[in-house]
This record gives sequence, structure tokens and C-alpha cells, in this order.
Amino acid sequence: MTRELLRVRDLAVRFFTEDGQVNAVDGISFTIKAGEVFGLVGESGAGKSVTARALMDLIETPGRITDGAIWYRNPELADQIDTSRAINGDFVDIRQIADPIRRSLRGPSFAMIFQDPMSSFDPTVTVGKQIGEAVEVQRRASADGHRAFAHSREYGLGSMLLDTIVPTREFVSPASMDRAVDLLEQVGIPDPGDRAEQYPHEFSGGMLQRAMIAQALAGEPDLLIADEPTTALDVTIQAQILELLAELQTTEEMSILLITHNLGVISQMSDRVGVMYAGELVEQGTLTDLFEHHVHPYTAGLLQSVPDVEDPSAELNPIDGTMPSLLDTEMGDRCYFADRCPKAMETCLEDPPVVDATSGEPMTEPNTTRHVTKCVLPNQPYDPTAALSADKSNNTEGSE
Amino acid sequence: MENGTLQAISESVEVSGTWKYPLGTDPLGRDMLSRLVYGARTSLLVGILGTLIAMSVGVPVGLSAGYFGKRVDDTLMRIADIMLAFPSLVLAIALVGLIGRVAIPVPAPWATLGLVSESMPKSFILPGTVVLVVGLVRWVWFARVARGEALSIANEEYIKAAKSVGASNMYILRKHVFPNAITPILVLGTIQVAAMIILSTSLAFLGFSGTTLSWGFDVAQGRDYLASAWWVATLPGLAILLTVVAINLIGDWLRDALDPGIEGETGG
Amino acid sequence: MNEPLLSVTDLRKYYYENNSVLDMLLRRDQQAVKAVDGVSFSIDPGETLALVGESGCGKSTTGETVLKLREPTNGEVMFDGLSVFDASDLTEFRRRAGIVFQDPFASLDPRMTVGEIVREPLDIHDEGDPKDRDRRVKYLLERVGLSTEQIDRYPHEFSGGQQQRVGIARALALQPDFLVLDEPVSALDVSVQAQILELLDDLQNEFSLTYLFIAHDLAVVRYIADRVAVMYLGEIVERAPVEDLFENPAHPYTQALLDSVPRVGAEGSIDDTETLPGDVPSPRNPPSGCRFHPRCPVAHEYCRQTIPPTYDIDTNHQTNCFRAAPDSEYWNSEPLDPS
Repeated sequence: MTRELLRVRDLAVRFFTEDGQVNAVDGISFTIKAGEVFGLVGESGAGKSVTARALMDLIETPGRITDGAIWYRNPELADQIDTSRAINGDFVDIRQIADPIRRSLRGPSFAMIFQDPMSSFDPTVTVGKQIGEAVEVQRRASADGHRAFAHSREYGLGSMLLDTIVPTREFVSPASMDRAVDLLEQVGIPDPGDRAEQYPHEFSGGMLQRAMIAQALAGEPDLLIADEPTTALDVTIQAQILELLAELQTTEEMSILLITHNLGVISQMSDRVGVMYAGELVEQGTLTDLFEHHVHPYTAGLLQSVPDVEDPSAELNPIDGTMPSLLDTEMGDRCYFADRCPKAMETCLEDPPVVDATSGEPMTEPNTTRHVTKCVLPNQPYDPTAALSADKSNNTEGSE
Repeated sequence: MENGTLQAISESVEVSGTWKYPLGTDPLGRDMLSRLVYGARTSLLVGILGTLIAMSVGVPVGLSAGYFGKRVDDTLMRIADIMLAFPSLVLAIALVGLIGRVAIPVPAPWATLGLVSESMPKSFILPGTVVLVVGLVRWVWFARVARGEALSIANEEYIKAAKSVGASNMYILRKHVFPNAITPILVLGTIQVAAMIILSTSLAFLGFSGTTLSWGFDVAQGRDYLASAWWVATLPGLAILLTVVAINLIGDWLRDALDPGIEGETGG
Repeated sequence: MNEPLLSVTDLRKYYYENNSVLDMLLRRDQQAVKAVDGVSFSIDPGETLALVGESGCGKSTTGETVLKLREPTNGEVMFDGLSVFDASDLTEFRRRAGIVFQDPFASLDPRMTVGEIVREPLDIHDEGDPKDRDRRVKYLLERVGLSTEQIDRYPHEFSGGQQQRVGIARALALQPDFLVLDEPVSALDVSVQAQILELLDDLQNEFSLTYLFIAHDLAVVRYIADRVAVMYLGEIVERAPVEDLFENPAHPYTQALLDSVPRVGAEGSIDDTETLPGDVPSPRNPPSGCRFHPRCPVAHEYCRQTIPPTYDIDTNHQTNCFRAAPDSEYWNSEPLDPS
């Protein structure tokens, strides 16, 4: 039984904007095991990227994590933390630890790669140096041992000025540069030594994405969060990158949280999948659970609206309507998918429970590694006579 | 030349603040406050009219250069570069010398409409050359900005879309390029008004203006009296300063107000 | 037997670098970026031809050049008897041929209301009187699935899918016969994609439209296309009816494309996809001989030296690969090491 690495429980992220409170993520729970690929699928606005950033502690005002716990399994860290509320055996709730300690987790515990590699790199610094910086920061942090807030590892203004003016006081040591070149090689970039001296614009999209992966690997993370890593790439390059990620996952023994809207990518890469809609996880389970035994009508709708490259006679059945507004004032207590759901019933006017998709029993214990859905259907099969009538034209219907 | 606003008082020169003359008088005994107020009219008119002239030359040139690109762009911009090579004041003086000082009597609206007493002057002098000159000297700024905007707009997809439904280049320039380029041009316009005021007061200071009722003239006049009647030069100088700052602030506000404020997605 | 509605012959679009006055003075050679290098195809009335390829292959450039939205370097385009590149007056052509762009928001003038945007073609061509035009705008908006109450809203107030609907409504304003659809759903979410594809399908049936559908997503192509042309580095490397292409791809690049697409479903894993090595090439410096040879898993020495001609494999199925000819010199030459 593989160990669990990350347990997210009831995570809620809200944005307090001028237009009101936006519930970007509305109480989601999922678990990622060590060494597995967990796919997070959904459309734009569903909350996948926000979830990813919440895990990396990258949510900035006007957004805030307002609720929930992120339990991260790290025995060494658990030993260091004093607060008893924040510990549960080998697990540490990273929301409850001190800010500097949480920040120090970026790199050795969590790393992230993004959709557009070109805008993730500084165009004025060579690629090798940027990866070297990541390596150097990690090196200094671990050399300083338990001091989570190490002054010397900070790449502040002083370091930057020295770095530019005095060649011998470069922030990135030769050892780190060597490791950076090794990392470039590991991600499959040919002639890594030469390539390290080049600038981001001299790299193609695929190469730069590899470089970004190299940078993410610098700290040897336990969890790699990949936010739409191949969406901007051509399909042949996408295949290369996905192959690379799968390889690295085995050799580095890390888990991957793979965020995408591409069902094919999810199918090829994931062990388990979560489907997000309007800030909620409406269904999660293994690939087989989702593709062959799906329960939630949104999952069904998604699968039916995607053309299949192997099926000549596919019928497309698009889901009517659009995703509802995430403004708190406009969201009711009903199921957020009710307006578009072909199987909506009167009971859907209340917030549906999170239940086991097969048995229908409510999932109250934190262990959510089974096939789970947030829907009434497992307990209450669809009954057309109880269908939700046209008064579902509540404010959430788009103008279409 | 005589401006029919105030009669010269034969005795008492250089009186500083009294009730009759709150800001003092100039060396010829004329009330400074009145001179400041009337000078404002000259300066603002020159600034605004000059800007309009500069815009009407610069904007079409710039938009065409940016939209058509290549040869048209090269030619027009080389002309602009040549103009820019001259320091504006030198160029202005040369043009004034060429055109001569033209003073245009403009009917004063209040007097024409009979709203003020009969004794008030019926017209005021607009220094025509100065207006023309500041406009011609500074059109290049508008051309630059307009060209930059047109360059980026010309590559937008909605321009391609307009072409695809059969729009002619003139139509596209008029209905698509110009409206989308207008914001930075307007903002530049307000700032240029300030710049033109400065340029015109410089010209007046040097004696090239067509009127003696302007701030620049007063500053020039007061130069000789700085030790004794410092207010003659300082007050118009302050007025110029305050006006320019105010106009720049308006330009700043305009930039923000005209921003279409198209929000980006908050993305999921 | 139908005459094709659109017939493109040897279309070329080169971009020249190093051709400013300074370069000419310094006698630098003009460098040509051959974005489209000899593309020929035809489309029958009512048909959908898909142009497929990855970035840099020239498909978007082809689409725009066919409509003369870009100046062609060479070639001929015949549209229902009219020679598009030679015609002095393209007004009629602009009425009958329209285009829908990839980026829904960018294709709409942000300072015009949606109603004005859809009305513009009618104004330019002076169709009917203003009342007629208003009626037509309302009809079009409804037909593409938008509410007429939004006629005075601005583009940024709409979602991506709705913006694309506006773009489609505009393209239909003059009742065209032919539409170039330049990756019309690539920038849209999955479920919105499906809605727009369904709409395009319906519109084609209702108005007997002919489509040139440019895409990189093979699944979408399989759903919507009748025939497919695969482009690589400015050339068409294979051309076939859609089912033939997917069942019997003849060109190694087509095969590689198909193999790269991750399959939806519970079985299969990333190990099943064959990855094609190397980068998508830039048209600035195309390889010699067959342009695909550096990445081709079955390339031989002959491929590097000689440019492959077009071979007929089947009815309507052509490819530019030596492997289609059993008697080609290709079989006698040494395989290339694909690194």
C-alpha cells in the first residue's frame, strides 16, 4: 500500500475583489500518494490553477486561503515543529506552520512548472544561470541545516549587486552551475553545456519547457505541480514532454499533480484523477472509475463533448450553458452544476453531499482515495418525475 | 503695439500690492493682476490652437506611417527626424523670422454679444505666427505617438477581419485605427498644450510674439526690475508654472479616465 | 461532376529579411523565409477540407493568403471562375468568402459594440437600408446562439465562446459561400469547443457552406473534416479523405502526428505514444531534400539528397514520400541515424 504524501482537506480559497467575494475553490478534499500522478481536470474558472497555487503558498491578495488543511507527510519536518495542532503523526499541516518554514518548502518539497515557459524565465539572464540560482538557493538552505530562515541563502539586493559588479562574488557557485548543466542533461537537452550559456529566446518552446522542468527538479521535490505544462506546445512536442515527465517521476520518485483540460493527457499520464467544476471536486477516482464508471453528469458531459481521434463516427454532445459565476452573492446553496445538468432533480437545490460513488455512503473520514463524487445520484437514481423544472433559470445561467 | 485693455498711468510706476492694484503694477503702471488674467487668455489660446495644429498635421502622418509601413513609413519618418534635428526654439525663431509677426484681431465674444460694458475692448490680439510656429515645431511628437499606436494596431486581428469583409484602407484608418489610437494621442495633447505654452512664452520673452499682453512679455519686461520690482517678472513666471503643472495633472487624469478598463480573467 | 469551388495552385508566400535600403547598399543577400512553399489543393462545394500541422508549418499563412489578406509571392487561386490574385476588384469575392480567426477577442474591435461589429460588413457593402441591416444583425446574433439584448455590449463583456460566436456571425453577414476557419476552437475550453463545433456543423448544413478548416487538433479534424491535407514546413506532405488518412496514413509525419496524440480512455499509458524526436523546425532554414528527413524514423540517405514528388496512392490520396513508390531509389540507400 503506497504511502500517502499529501492530504488536502476542505481547502477553500476566496478572492475578496471590488466586485465582491469570489469563491474560487470551495471546500475540496483529495489525497495524493507518493510516486503517483494525480490529474486535476476541469475548464477555465474551475479552480484548478488556484488549487495548485494554494499548495505552493502562492495565493496573493486579494486572494486568501480561508479554510482547510494541507497535510504533508514529512517525518523530519514533523519532528521540528512544536505546534501540536499542526502535527498528525508524520503529517504536518503546512497551513499552520510559520511562514518562513512554509516558504522553505518550496524547492525541496514542492515545485511548480507553468504553462508558458517563455514568460517564466527572465529574458536577460542565461538559462543555465537561472537554473543555477535555483540549485544554489537549495544548496545554501540545506547547508545551513535547520535554520529555515537563512540570511546567506537569500538572494537579496546585496547579493545581486555584488553578483553583477564583482565577478568572483557570483551568487551561483561553480558547483551549482555544474549541477545545473547536469539537470539540463537529465531533461534531455542536447549539448547542455553550450545550451546553459544561451538565453531563453534562443530556446524553442519544447526546450524551454524542459529547462523549466530542470529548474523545478533542482530541489529534488516530493511533489511536482504541473499547471497545463503542455497546453502551449505542439502535439509532437507535447508527447516528448509527457514522456519526460513520466520518466522523471520514476527516477526521482516524486509525485506529480498534473493540471490540464486535455482529457487525452490525463488518460495517458494519471493514476488517479479529480474533476473540478466551479471550485468543487465533483468526482475523483482512478482512471477506470472515471472513464468507465463515472457517476457525475459533468464528467459524463465532458467525456461526450470531446472528439476522439480514434473514433470515426463520434457524436459530439456539448453541455449546454456556461460555468456559473463564482461570486459569493450569486452562488446559492444548490448544486453548482444543476442548471446544466440533464439529471437535475428537486433534491439538487441543496448542496449535494460527498459520497462514495458506488455505495453512496457519505465520505466523512479523511481517506479519500476511493471513487468519490459530490452528487445525489448514487443515493437517489435519476427520476424524471422529480426533475428540476425550468425555474432553474436562476441568475447562474449565462446570457446565452 | 497697444492693447486696449488698460491705459498707462502717467505717474506712479512700480507700485507693489495696494487695494487698487492687489498684485502691484508693471513698470508702466498697469495692474499686474489684470495682466496676468489677460495673459492667461493669450497663453491658453496659443497652447490649445497650437496643439490642434500640431495634431492635425502629426496624427495623419503618424497613423499613415504606422499603418502602411515600409516605404511610406521610412519616408515620413525621415522627414520627422529632420524636423526633430532642429532645436525647437531655434526653429521657432527662424520660422517667425520667415513668416513675420502676424497679429490677428479676434473679436472678444463677451463684447460682441453685448454682455459687457461698451468701454471694454471689442477684440483681442492673437499672435498668429506664434500659434502657427509652435504647431509646426511640435507636430512630430504626435506623429511619433500616432505611428507607434498604428504599428501595433495594424497587426491586430480585427484589422485583418475588417479587410476580409472588404473594407478599404481609408475606412480602416478612419473607423478602426484612429479610434483605437486616440487615447495616448489625447493624453499627449494635454501635455503638449503645456509645452506649447512654454515655447510661446519663450518666444514672447525673446520678443518674437505678436502681442505685448502675454506672460512672456511681462517676464522679459521685468528682467530689468528684478531687484526693485521683482513681482513684475516673478508673478507671470509663477503663473506659467502653475498652469503647466495643472495641465500635466489633467493629462494624467485623462490617461486613467480613458483607459477602457478591460479586465483580464482571474483564471481557474 | 462538380467543379471545385476553390482551387489553389502552387501557392507561395515568402517573407524577405535583409531587404531594407541599408541591406541593399551593403549588398547583403535577401533571405527568404518560405512560410508557404508550393501548396496546391482544391475544395468542392459543401466540403470541409482540413489543413493540419504544427506551429510554423504555414497553415494559417495559407488560409490568409488564399483570401489575399496577405500578398502572395506566387501561385494562383481560382474561386468559382474568378482568379483571386489577378482580379482588380475583389468586392464580390469579399462578399462570398469570409474568415473566422483563432483568437476570439483579438478579432473584435474593442471599441465597437457587438451589434456594430456584425453590422460592419453590411455597411461596407451597402446592403439594403438601415432597417434591413438591423434586422439582419439581430437574426445573425440569434442564429449563432446569442441574445439580441446584448447587441449594445462590448466584446470584453463576453466570454471566449460568445466572442467567437460574434466572429462567426460577422463572417456570415454577407451570406458567403466559403469560410476559412483558422483554428476557430483552439483557444476555447473543452465544452465550449464542442458547442462551437456543433454550431459550425449546423451552419454548414443550413447554408451549404464550404469550409477550409485549419487546425492542429487531430481529434477535432476527424470529427469535422471530409478531406485532410497535412502540412509540414510550408508544404503539403499528404492529402486524403479523412478516414483514409486516419486509417492508412502514408507519410511518416502523418503517422507521427497520429501517434503523438494522447488517447482518451482508461487503458493505455504514456508509453504507448511514440514520440517524435527533435524540434518543430523553423521555415528559415529548411533541411535539404525531404524536409522531414532529420526527424523521420525511416529516413534514408536518399531522402536527404532528393526532394520527393507527389505520389498517388489511391483515389484522392496522395503523399510526398518515397516509400509510396516501390521502385524508388530510396530503398537502395542507407538508413539515416535519426538523432
